[in-house]
Amino acid sequence: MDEEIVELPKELTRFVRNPYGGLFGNSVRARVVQEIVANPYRIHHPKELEGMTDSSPPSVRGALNTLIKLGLVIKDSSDKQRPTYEVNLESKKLTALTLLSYAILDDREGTDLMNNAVLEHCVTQLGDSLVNLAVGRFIAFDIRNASGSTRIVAIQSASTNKGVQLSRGASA
Amino acid sequence: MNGSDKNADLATVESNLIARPSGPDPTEKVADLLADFLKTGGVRDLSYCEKWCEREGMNLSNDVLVLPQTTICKSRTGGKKGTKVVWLKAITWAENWVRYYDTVRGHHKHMVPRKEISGNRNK
Repeated sequence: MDEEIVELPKELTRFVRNPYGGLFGNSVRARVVQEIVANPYRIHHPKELEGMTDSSPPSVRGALNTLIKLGLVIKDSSDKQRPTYEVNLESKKLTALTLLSYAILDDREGTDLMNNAVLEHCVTQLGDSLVNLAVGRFIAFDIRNASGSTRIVAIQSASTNKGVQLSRGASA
Repeated sequence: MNGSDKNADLATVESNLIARPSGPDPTEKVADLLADFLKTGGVRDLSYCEKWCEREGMNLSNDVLVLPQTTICKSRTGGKKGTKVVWLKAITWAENWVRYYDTVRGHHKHMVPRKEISGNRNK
């Protein structure tokens, strides 16, 4: 019921219908970018994007065409009547925009999403290179107690298996 | 954290990477919505969330808003005539569960796609 709905703190209102907290304005392109970056594994249909971004068909089509030219989106025209769009998962812009998404929340909330994602990126994407370049490897684990869990990231020595803590995530 | 913890045998605790996080389990499907929230400022239009859930075969009220209000709740901007939104309040809780389910699935990283993912999608 409406009476039970709590009011959103004023400082959060600029994040409503305002991609990246307004960093790039509130254009249809920014809204489409936020939508596809937030859901990169989905096959996007223009109609759905229109509804999700509250934008008109021509403006969404225009935004998608621009994003295709920029290499962030790939069009699948196998069904010519109903083309679909996918995020180019190989694009480094996708990674950068994902990190930006986290950074915006981190700056507001004091959380550690971006750093955790960077470290995860190091482990999952750069792991082999890091092992070759350094004397250890990144490792992350969670420590839990009664008050919640904390993510710890460390480097583990390749020769001794001893670890050195690098950072500590925010508690849940 | 004390000095001895710092020097703990990290190989032993590595298995904790996929340990269940604390707090209420949002379920795997809702974790996907939480991943969306984490990338979109933690606040979404109520109508957006309803569409999102409908598309995924879920119901916002029954599947998402049943979680404790300390984690995610219905809210509104600027008084009774304001925009209805869904507000993710427990960011770290959400992050932990998103990471947990991504880890369990192993094929669906929430930040950067692994190369094999795009390879599979192109098949």
